[in-house]
Order: sequence, then C-alpha cells, then structure tokens
Amino acid sequence: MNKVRFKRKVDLDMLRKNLIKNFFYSLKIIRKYDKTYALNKLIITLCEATIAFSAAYLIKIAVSAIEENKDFKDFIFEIAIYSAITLALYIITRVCNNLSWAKNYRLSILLRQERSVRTLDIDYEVLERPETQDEIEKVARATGEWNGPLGLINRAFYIMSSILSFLIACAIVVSVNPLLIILISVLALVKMFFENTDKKKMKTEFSDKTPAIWRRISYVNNIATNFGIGKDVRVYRMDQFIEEERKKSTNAFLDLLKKSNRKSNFYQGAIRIVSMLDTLMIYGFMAYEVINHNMSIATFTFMVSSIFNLTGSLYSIIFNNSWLLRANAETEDYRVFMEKNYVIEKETDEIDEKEVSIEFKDVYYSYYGQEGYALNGVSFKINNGEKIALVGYNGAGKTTIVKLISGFYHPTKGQILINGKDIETLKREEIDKLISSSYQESLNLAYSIGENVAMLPKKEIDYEKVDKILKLVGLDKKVNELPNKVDTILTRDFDDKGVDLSGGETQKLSIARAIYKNAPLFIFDEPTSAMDAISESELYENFNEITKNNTTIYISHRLSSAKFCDRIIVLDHGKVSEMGTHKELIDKNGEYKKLFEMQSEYYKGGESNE
Amino acid sequence: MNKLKRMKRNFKFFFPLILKTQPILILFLIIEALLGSASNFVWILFPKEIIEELTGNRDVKTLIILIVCFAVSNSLINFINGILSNADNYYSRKVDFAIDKMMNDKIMLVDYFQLENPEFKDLVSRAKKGMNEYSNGIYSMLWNIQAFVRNIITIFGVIGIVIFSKEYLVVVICAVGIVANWLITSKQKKLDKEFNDSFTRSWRRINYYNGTIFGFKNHKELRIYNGKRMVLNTCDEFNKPVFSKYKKQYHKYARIDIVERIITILFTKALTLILLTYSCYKGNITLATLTMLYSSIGTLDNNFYGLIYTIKTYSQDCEYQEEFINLMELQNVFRKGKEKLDKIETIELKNVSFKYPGQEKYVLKDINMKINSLEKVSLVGLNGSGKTTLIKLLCRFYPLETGEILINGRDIEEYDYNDYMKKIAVVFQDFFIISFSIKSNIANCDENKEKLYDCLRRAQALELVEGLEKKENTYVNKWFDKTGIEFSGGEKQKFAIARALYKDGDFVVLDEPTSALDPMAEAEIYYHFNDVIGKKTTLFISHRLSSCIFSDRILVLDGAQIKEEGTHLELMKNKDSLYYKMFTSQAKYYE
Repeated sequence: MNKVRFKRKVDLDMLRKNLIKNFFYSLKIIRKYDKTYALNKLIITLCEATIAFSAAYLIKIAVSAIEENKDFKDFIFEIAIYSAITLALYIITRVCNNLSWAKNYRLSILLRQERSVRTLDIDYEVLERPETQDEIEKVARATGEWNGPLGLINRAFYIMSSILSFLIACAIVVSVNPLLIILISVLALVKMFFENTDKKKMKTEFSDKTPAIWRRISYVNNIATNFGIGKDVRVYRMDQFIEEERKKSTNAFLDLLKKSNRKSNFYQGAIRIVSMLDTLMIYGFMAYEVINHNMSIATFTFMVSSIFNLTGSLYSIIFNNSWLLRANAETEDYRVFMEKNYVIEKETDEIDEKEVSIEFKDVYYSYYGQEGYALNGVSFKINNGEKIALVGYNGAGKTTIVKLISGFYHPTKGQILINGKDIETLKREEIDKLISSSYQESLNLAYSIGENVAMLPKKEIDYEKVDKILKLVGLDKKVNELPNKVDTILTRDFDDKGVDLSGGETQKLSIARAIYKNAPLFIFDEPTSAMDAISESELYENFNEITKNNTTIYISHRLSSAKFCDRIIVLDHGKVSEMGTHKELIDKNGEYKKLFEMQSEYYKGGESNE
Repeated sequence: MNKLKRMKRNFKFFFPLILKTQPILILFLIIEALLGSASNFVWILFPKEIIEELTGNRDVKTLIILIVCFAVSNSLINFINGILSNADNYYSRKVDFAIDKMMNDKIMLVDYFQLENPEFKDLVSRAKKGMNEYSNGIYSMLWNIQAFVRNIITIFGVIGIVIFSKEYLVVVICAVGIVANWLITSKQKKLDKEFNDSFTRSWRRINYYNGTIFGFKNHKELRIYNGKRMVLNTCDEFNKPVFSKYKKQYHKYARIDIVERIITILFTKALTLILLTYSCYKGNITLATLTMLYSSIGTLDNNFYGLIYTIKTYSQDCEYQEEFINLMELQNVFRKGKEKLDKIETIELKNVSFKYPGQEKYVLKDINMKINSLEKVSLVGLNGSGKTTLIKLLCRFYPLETGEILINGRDIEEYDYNDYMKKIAVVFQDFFIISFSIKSNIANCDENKEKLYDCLRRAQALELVEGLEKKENTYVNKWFDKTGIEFSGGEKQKFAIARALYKDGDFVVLDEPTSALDPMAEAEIYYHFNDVIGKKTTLFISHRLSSCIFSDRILVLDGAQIKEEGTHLELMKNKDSLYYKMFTSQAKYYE
C-alpha cells in the first residue's frame, strides 16, 4: 500500500517538475519564431472567460423585463446592446482562434525541425543506442500542436481563462449564498476524482499497454502497402504468416479494450450518481430561494446557468491541468534534450587538412550492450597517399573500423592516431574535413541529383564539377537521359518526375559524392557490389585517376580490387590476421591466398573444372 | 457520379458488412440515438415545468417530484449511453480491423503486375488515405447513422413543441436560420476538402524534410558531408509557401465563422427572444413557456446544424471512401488456370517478347529458350538487360502478350496459380526480410525445426544463428523486440537463401543470391551447389561470372535478346562475344 502511494507521488512530482521554468522556456522558444503568439492567446483567454455569462444574460434581460413589466422599447434597446457585446466577443474569439490554429501548425513544424537538427549534434555512438533512439522518438512527440511547449502554453491559457470564468461565476453566486459555492465545488471535485481514477485505470490497464500492440498492428497493416515485399509474399505465401500475426495482435488489443471498458462502466456509474446530486442541489436550492426569499425568475435562470458555468470552469481547470502536466513532462524532455551538451569538449588541436595518416594502436571495440569485442586489438598504420584494401569475412569488423576512423565510434581500448594526434582529442568538424566516404547502405535523399552529389544548397553547387564527376563514375548517360538532367529529384516519393535509381546506380552516386568532396581520405565500403561486370571494370580502370591524390581505404568482397591497392589488410574475427602487398600475402600462403584462390580459381579459364 | 448515388453505393457496401460482422452494433447505435434525443427533451421540458410551478402554485411536493425526476432521468440516460458507447466502441473496432484485413488481403493477393503499376499504387494510396486520413473509415458511417437518427427525432420533437405553443413566427425565423446554416456548412465542407487535398500532400513532404530526413540511417552521410545547410535550405523553401497557404485557409475559416455567429446571435438568439417576449407581453405564452421555447430554439438550431453537417460529412466521406470500394471490387485478371501441377519438369519460352505496360521499349524480344529437368542454367548480362524481367514472367507476375511459356509442354496459364507458386522457389535480388523472427522469415507458419536448421546450414547461416542467444527465435531488427538484432546485408541474404531452400520447390531461381556474401561463404555455396540447392532445376543470375563455370548452360542476354548460348568453354572460344569480354574484364584482376 505504502509503496503504491509512494510511487504515485513520484509520478506527480515528475509531471510537475520545473513547471514554471518550462512555461517560461516554452514562451521563450515560441517567441523566437512568433512574437504575437502570447498576445493572441491572452485576447482569447479574456473573451472566452466572459462569453458564457454574456450569452446567459440575454435571457435574464427578457425574463426580468416581463416580470417587472418594463417598457418594451427599453427592453429592445437593452437586448440590442447585449447582443452586440456577445457577438463582438464571439467574433474576436473565433478570429483569434483561427489565427492561433495556423500559428500552432507552423510552430509545431519549426519545433520538429529544431529537434531534428539537434540530433546531428549527438555523438554517433550514443545516437545508435536504442535508448537514444527511444528518447529522440519521445522528444518528437513533444513537437505536436497539442504536446510539449505548444501544449503547455495552450493549456496554461485555457486554465487562466477557466479560473477567470470561475471567479466571475463565484462573484455572481456569492450574492445568493456563499455556502452553495462550496457545496457545488465539493461535488464537482468528487466527480472529477472518479473521472481521474477512471482515466488513470484506463491508462495503466489500457493506454500504457497498447503502444506495443499498435506497433504490431500498424506493421502488419503497412507491410502490404510496402510494395517491395510483393514478390516474396506471392512466392512464399507470406500473407499467411502476416495474417496470423494480425489475428494475434488485434485480438490482444480487443481483449484489453473489453477489460478496460468493464472497469470504466463502474466509474461512469459513480460519476452519474454525483451529477444527479448536483442537479438536485442546484435546482432544489434555487427553488427554495424563489419560494422563501422571493428570488425573481430572471435571477433564478441566470443563477442556474451561472452555477453550471461555475462547475464547468472548475471542471475545465482540472481537465486542462492534467493535460498541462503531461505537456509539462513532454516539455521537460524537450528542454533537457535541447539544452543537453552533446559535444564532448576537446582540446582543439588544429591538424593538417591536406594530408592524412592513420594509425591504430591495439584498438579494441565492443558494441554497446553486447558481450565480447568486435575488434580484438587491431594495430596497423596507413601512410599518406597509400591505397589500402580491407578484406575479410562477413562480420570480421571491417565496417567497425571504418566507423572508428570516421569518428563515429570511440575505441573501447587502445588509441587511434590521425596525423599523429589522438582521434579522441580532435573535434568532429576536423575529422569530417578529412574524410570522403561511401558507406555500404548508400543513401538516396529526396533531393536533386546535383544536391545528392554536392550535399550543398543549390546555389553553391559547381555544376560543371558535378557533370565531370558523373562522367567519371559512369552515371552521365543515365542522367542525361532524364528530362531534368542533374536537377531530377531522386525517388518518386514527392515528385512524379522523380527517378528511382537501381542499386548499382545508387552506388555510383555514392562514389560521386565522395569525389565531389575530395577530402584527403577516401573510404569505399563495398562500392561495386550491385554493379555488373563491365561497370565494375570501368570503375576499376578509373580508380587510379579518382584516387590519384588521396589516401584510400577500399573494402570489398571482390578480391580483384586488392590488385590495384598498395597494401592489403586481412581481418579475421576482429583481428588483423595478415598485412602486406598482394604478392607478399600470396607468397605467405595464408588466409588471403586461400580467399583469393577461392575466388580466382574459376576465372583461370575454367579448364580445371569438370 | 453524383452524391446520392455515391452515398447509396457506400451504404450498400458497408452496411451489409456491419450486419455480417457485428449486427448488434446497429441496435446499440439506434438506442444511443434515441437516448441522445431523449436527453434533449429532458433539458427542455423539466426546467419549464419547474418554472411553471414556481411562477404558479409553488407546491413544494410537486416541485420536489419534478426536480428528483429531472435529476434521475438525466443521470440514467447518460449512464446507459456511457455503457453503450463503450460497447459500440469495442464492436466498431472489430469491424475496423476487419476492414484493415480486407485492404491487406487485397494488396497481398492481387496480380503482382498491379504493384508495379503507378495507377494501382495511386489507387491504393488514395484508398488508404480515404479510409484513414480524410474520413474516419467505418466510423464515419456508424457515427453518421447515429447522429442522423438523433438529429431527426430531436428536430421533429422540437418543431412539434413550437407548433404546439402556436408560435409560428418563430418557426419562420428558424427556417431562415436553417437555410443560412445550410449555406455556411456547404462552404465550410468545401474548404475542408480543399484543405485535405492540398495539405495531406504537402504534409508528407514537410514531414520528410523537417523530420524523417534526420532519421538515423541518413546520419553518416549528413555528418561526413555536412549536409545540414542543404537540408535547412530546402526546409525553408518548402515550409514558407505552405505556412502562408495555411494561414490564408484559416482566414477563410474565420470569415465563415463570423457569418455563422452573426446569424446565430442575431436570428436564433436576439430576434427569437424579442418575438417570444412580445408574445409574453401580450399574454399568449407564460414565462415558463418562453424559457422553454428559447432553449428549444437553441436545441433546434444545434440539431439542424448537426443534421446538415452529418449529411455533408457522410457525402464527403463517401467520396473519399469510394476509392476503397473501387479497390475492393477490382478483380484479378489472370488466374484462370485450373490444371493441377505435380512437378515442374521442363520450362520453355517460345518467341516471348515483353514490354512493360505503357512503355514503348521491349525489355525482352523474341526469346526462345528451354530449361530441361534438373538442368542448371546461368543467365548473364549487363545491368538493365532484362534478366530480372524474365524471372518475373516465370513467376507469373505479368501476363504475357506475345509468345508463350510452357511448363512440361503446356501453357503456364493453364495451371492453377497456387499450385504453380507452390513449386517455385526464388531468391530475388531485392528480397525482403520482415521484422519478425528468423524462424518466421524462413519457415513462415511451418514448425519443422530440423528442416529449418538443415536449411540454415546449407545457406551458411548455421554458425550465425547458433551463436545467437535466442537462436532461430531472434527478431530481425529492434522494431518489435528490444533484444532483436540488426543483421548485415550478407546475413539477411543468407536468410533469404534459407527461405528458398525451406520451400523445397522443383524450380529454383536465384537472382544475385551472393552479392553481399564474403568470398568464403560465396565460394562455399558455389562449391557445394548440389548440396546447397539439392537436385533441382535451377536458373541462376550473377554478376560474378566465375559462378557460370558450374552451369550446364549459359545464356547471355543483350539488348533484350539472347545473343549467346552454350557452356563456359564454348562461349570462351569466341573472343568477340560479350561473355568473353565480361569474363575477362573480371578475370584480369585475378591473374
């Protein structure tokens, strides 16, 4: 029992954490993009607080005119004035509200952008962890129009409006009987207590459990529209398995829903009983006033509606408060994420940007959350201008080495020296300047081909250079066939005239990107795996020209590439097993020779076989 | 198609579906609607009687009875309605799931060529959006039926009350209000449609450039090439016009809102009140009737607005949902074959020419070839020479227009589709591994563990899977399971091969099956080809020409035609052949 209480308290504390700080933080970041946002909200707040009373006052005027037998013309005059006021209030509210929807939309996108850009600052190794991905996902939720900073501000203003409305109602009702306010408020609070318990139960027993199920449901729902799976679905009848998954997950969802509905019905009953008492009290009390204290019917109707406004605004305060707290928790996530210092401070050594040499000194690397080492004491040195081939089995650690050199990963043990300086002391920008790389899973951004090659804003692209490079990698023919040439957008996701590149073409593009940047170090990770024999061989022929002035690390399962490299490093189970020139390694008669012969055997005319 | 027809079609499609899956839902909805309008009358009639009593006899007993009845009936109605709405939430969710299933089954079982047809893709995306984004899917019908019944009953009831009190002028004012409401809602709905049409399109784009593009898989390049500036530049370019359009749209909404408020406040509030007060002055109605009529006019106004809104919404939803119905009614065109197929022996192509629908260029031209039983044939050619298309034809993904494909000497179309599909196993170049367990990916629903492990062994994936903590039950990537593993391209490719082996078809097609494998694994598969694939008829595509040496026969595709054919040795004799050129261009690096 105690434990449960304790936990709830912690939950609440977490939700309330830094509420004021977050409120002002939200105002500040919104102000950055939109100066009039708060003012607009303030106007809405004031109008909405008074509007209900103004509308209810109309009928009071009519009834009291009849009761007091006023002059009809005076009555019309009075009605006209109050109608005009009500109308004006409504119009202002509607206009400001519409404005505020548009503002919310814009701000939510800008916040999302800010959050997305921020992810670039996170250390890559940290970024790759599932927790970080979850956190980023969580922060993404804070950028909705009703969540995070925007939600916080919106809810806060709603609450202000409700408080104002509550105070007005109190001032009206207090003239009849102050006790009534207390009674009504207590009943309203009891009602809200039940509703909150209902919601909380709903949350722990339903909402908290559904995301995992929804993930499954939405996966099976979306997988069919991922047309890439179409071929395998038909040949392997994968629809049967997917169908089974669907049945399992939808049934799980429905079961949860049924259970939570049953509980909810109980609370609904309790709430209705309280609201029955509520109605009884309001009407009973007011009727009593009319009979015993001669309250006029005009006042009776106005009082009844004022009391409903009172409970309504009280309800709205509590309702919005729980949303406010949620928005606050989201804002807290957002603020912490945005304010966290992701950049590890480093001694800002300047290094030579013209050349590059790399040295691994007994480097160990262990993947986060995995036992054992992916790299087991790797040592080697690459001199400026050298062409190195990195070969080995699947999972031998080739790609890990590339990510270490790129500064994405940090060695668990050992040291990596770039131009003689420990890579851990170098700023990221310094490392970035040194490297041009094409990674295994190549990237197709939904941008023009030119932008994909240069990775620069359109105005800054040297298109002559782009054309020259496209020719060099053998993509010129394809690009020139396209109606918009280098301005053609990649993928057809957003543009009907866009183009989907094949695997081999994407690889060529990726190489072109590396060449455009022309950094001192080239890294090519499986750059030709999807190319046909002729394309590959053409690329090999141009290889010397491409890498003429650059240090190069070349990773490939096709050992033919090792032939035009100066030196070969063979990796086996996270260790360097052999190192040397092609000739040296063949003479050594080790692992490399085995691999090379395995592949080359059938190229020797094929006479030996069959 | 006109609106009425469209609504009729929608009703005819979905209503029987609800009746068939969850008939009780309809009953719940109608009871809910009845209670909903009853609640309106409770709020109109009881306060009136209470005021009547207060201005008249002031009998305490009557007052107590009235107030208690008022409170109890109100709470009871709400209570029952709450329970019912919880229940119908559950049942409608069931129908909703059934509709999701229909959609998926359709896409997964439709003729494959449709999936590469942009028109079909568009249809699917419009159907999906039409059901999930623009309209509320099945809920729009359910909610609208309920609202329709509730509004109609309330409207007739209130009109009855007004007529009973003989306040005809008020009825006229109401009529004016209704017409105005009708016009306003039309305008608003039109704006809604404009809004949906233009913004869902831009929303996807905005979402991509402001969010998705910073997804983890793009980070390596964005960082190394410092792509931040480029991305932000485009964000600005795309965002600005959308923001200003959005703002304009809301200005339009604001204008409509203003007109609506003017009509409501001036007509249904101020003017009605003046007329009623005038009647009261003249002694035609009592004070209690005045308050009642005033509140009933408010109710009437709301319900009319509700009714119009309901009809407009439904009519518009029908327009959006039409695409879904179109999709469901699309028939498969080429699965007419009935013939049983026991075993695939020979495969023969006769004068096969093929071009993709809507394209001029032939991808395959006049192809003649034959694969004999248990023969191992290699197909080679440059990128874009039509190899993959040929495979698609063999998988019956596209209907053939010229020429024929013969299986065991009979036209492929004559065989039962499912029968034929059971007999082929294909490793596609762009194979697809789903985010479920390794076992599910390879064995589908099957549970034969021994066979599974045998296939893993033959696909060189045994060591890999045995090294995993959860073995074959390990999830591929972390989408569902935090302990899932991100496998490399080569590892996934091994699973794809294992999947084909598990299927144990008579005819095995391998399209670049080893492109991501290391030399050892690749060689293992080539060396022990007979153990790996088994005694099967095989068609093999690879850019690694060394693999061809193992084949019984090699076909060289060039310029949409089979230009060369023979064994490796035969083809190598001709030094002008494409095969020779390709082979030597790779071989020279191994000398």
